[in-house]
Amino acid sequence: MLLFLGFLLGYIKNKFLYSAIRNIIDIFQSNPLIVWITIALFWFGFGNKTIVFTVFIVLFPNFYLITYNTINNIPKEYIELFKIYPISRKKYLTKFLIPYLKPFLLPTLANSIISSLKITAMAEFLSGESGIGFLLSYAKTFLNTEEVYAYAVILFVFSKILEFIFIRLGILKGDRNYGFSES
Amino acid sequence: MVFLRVNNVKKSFDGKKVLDRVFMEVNKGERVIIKGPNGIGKTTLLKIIAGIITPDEGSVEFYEKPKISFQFQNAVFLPWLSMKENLALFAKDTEMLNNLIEYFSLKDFLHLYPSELSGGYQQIFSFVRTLSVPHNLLILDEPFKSLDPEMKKKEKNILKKHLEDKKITLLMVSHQEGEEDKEIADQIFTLA
Repeated sequence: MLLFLGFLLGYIKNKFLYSAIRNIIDIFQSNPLIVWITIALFWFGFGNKTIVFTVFIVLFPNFYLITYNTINNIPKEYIELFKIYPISRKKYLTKFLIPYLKPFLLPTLANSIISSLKITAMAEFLSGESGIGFLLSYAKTFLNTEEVYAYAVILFVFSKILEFIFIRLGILKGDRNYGFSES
Repeated sequence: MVFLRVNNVKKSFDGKKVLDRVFMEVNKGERVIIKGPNGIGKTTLLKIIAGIITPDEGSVEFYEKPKISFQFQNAVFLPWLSMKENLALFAKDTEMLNNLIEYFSLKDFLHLYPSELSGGYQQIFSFVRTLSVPHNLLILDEPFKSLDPEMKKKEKNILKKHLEDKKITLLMVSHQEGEEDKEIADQIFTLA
């Protein structure tokens, strides 16, 4: 959904729309995340809506800006090619635009999934009613040190497993091979 | 019968004058070779005629609705598609496409990706694509570049046959020697 919205809006070449969205993104990015979580708590109360909103605030700008910038910097030779040899919009999208954007968008998507794990935990810590962040908050309240360490380890392991999967799929470039030989 | 007229075309890039007061007239079915030293604006002129670039001043007038097919100086293909998929995406005249694949013996190369082909074969595929799109104006920007003598001869022969059979108007940039140009050209236009 996030990817689709960022992609869709980034696809629209409109200076006014870009300027408007860029201003909104600036507002999103100029405040620390904690401010947005607090505001979201007032708007949506405790629960999933606040978490979804927080993840959206952090990840949407990446998708939008990468899609918009990539589309607006398509090499001249491709633009000339499609001017001379026009194809249907559907073919343009499926045979050209999506494969062209894939190497730019997939790493963003992968990084976003990894980041969203951390952001979700943070949002749950402050506003959730369930989830690992909420459990962490609960453990902190009761000074249960072992549980705090355990949840930190779980988050670390999850994050590394995701990173490992994306590196093995070739979506992310890793600076280590996790014990696998280079091929 | 006049097919196209270039009227007082001027074009600059970043303040550098590339084309200045270019006039040109091409008749229907005529074969024009454009010559001139490197950087004189031959490719720019072709792109202005094809409508890819807009001139700063002047105009290009067509006296018949043009259907343009353009072979770029450097072959442009989508690198994530095989040559077969690349050709299928753009080529409209499948009979012509199949005949040309047969003629140039390209069947064994169809499954390859553009990066797996030599410069010469990329150029041949680009030529095949150009001819497989319906056109009444064929624009070729150095079509014989990177071709070995045998392929060059084959390409030249099929080009001549194609132009004669279908009465196509040709605009071509070439760096060949004078005698070779005369095999194809009715008119040689020199940019200076």
